[in-house]
Amino acid sequence: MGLLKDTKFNHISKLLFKWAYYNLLLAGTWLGPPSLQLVGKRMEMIQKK
Amino acid sequence: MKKLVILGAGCGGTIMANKMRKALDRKEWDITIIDRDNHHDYQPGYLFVPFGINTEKEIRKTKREFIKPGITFVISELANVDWEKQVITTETAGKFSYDILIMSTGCEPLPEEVEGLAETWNKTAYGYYTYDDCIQLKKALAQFEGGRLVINIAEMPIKCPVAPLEFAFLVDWHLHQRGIRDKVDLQFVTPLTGAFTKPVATQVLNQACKEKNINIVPNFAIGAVEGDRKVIQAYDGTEVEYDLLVSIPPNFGSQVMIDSDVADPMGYIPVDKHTLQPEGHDNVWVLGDGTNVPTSKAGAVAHYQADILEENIVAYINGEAQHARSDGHAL
Repeated sequence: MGLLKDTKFNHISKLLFKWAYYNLLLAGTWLGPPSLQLVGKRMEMIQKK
Repeated sequence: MKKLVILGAGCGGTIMANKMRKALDRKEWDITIIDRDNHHDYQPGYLFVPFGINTEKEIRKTKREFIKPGITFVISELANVDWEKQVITTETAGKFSYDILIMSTGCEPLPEEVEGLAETWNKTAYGYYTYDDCIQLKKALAQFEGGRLVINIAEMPIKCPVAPLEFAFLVDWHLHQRGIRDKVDLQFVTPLTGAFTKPVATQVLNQACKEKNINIVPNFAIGAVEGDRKVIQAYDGTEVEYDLLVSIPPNFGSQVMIDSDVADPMGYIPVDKHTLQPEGHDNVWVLGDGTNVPTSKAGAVAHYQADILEENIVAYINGEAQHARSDGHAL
């Protein structure tokens, strides 16, 4: 729930993302392998659904 | 010279142009990217414009400044895409033949796809998916003194699926700042079964909405908007009244793609969800919001799709097997 709160961390993260968007993403910089789709997922809850 | 043509200079197209310029020999490959205008909007910043946090200066730049040297940037509307003849026809810049085509033409919300919504647009119903709409919504929010504020998602898929919820939380914050939160019934009316598309996130976000006193109205398939009565109506006859409606209209791909017979009736280009190529066209790749793949329509998805495309296109040019596969991953 911390991620949803109005915190300085969230504010700074948004500013950092904007910088990364303009300077890394649009430039086509490689940011790591696109194969992390299960990291952090609670599979038992997804499977129940 | 061989020719690589890229359609769309938004997030996906710009990333691909810059990647391929690095990957391909300048003496062998011309790269041309075509778009209808020169505005590059930082779309995550739209959400903050209605609340006066972001201005045009902060979120609008030119496309040209993000396109690296050695890439030709053409500004024109598209007129036709012909995969068989390998020719792109533009409205004002002539025709472009290609050896390789990358398509990243995106999608956009269309209020006219819900009965009565276009007639009420920027009168009692507002949106936040274009800069101009954000400005209209900003004016409407400033005049709003209380009543029922309804946020409605017409249907999925939409660009940035979490944006409506972010907007709901921002409105809650904004109303608190103005000291009128207790005068507003904030409703989140959605075709989904809860706050979000994914079960774990939905559980957490439902609770967050409850804590913020945002009422979720689930399973609402909108059929019409009656602007005179300030009512949204579901296909099953259920009605929700509003004083201010913030609508997320149905999203459609490019009409030119439909007219060129390369897209489905919603304008999305059918591709293999792992290779991102249309069947039978081994020199065409599609990425970003304009495909029919079941992933989020977000820049982060396009970014990772671009890695797949770069690897496979280079392999294709070298006559090697293409091993990279997209898994729809975002961040």
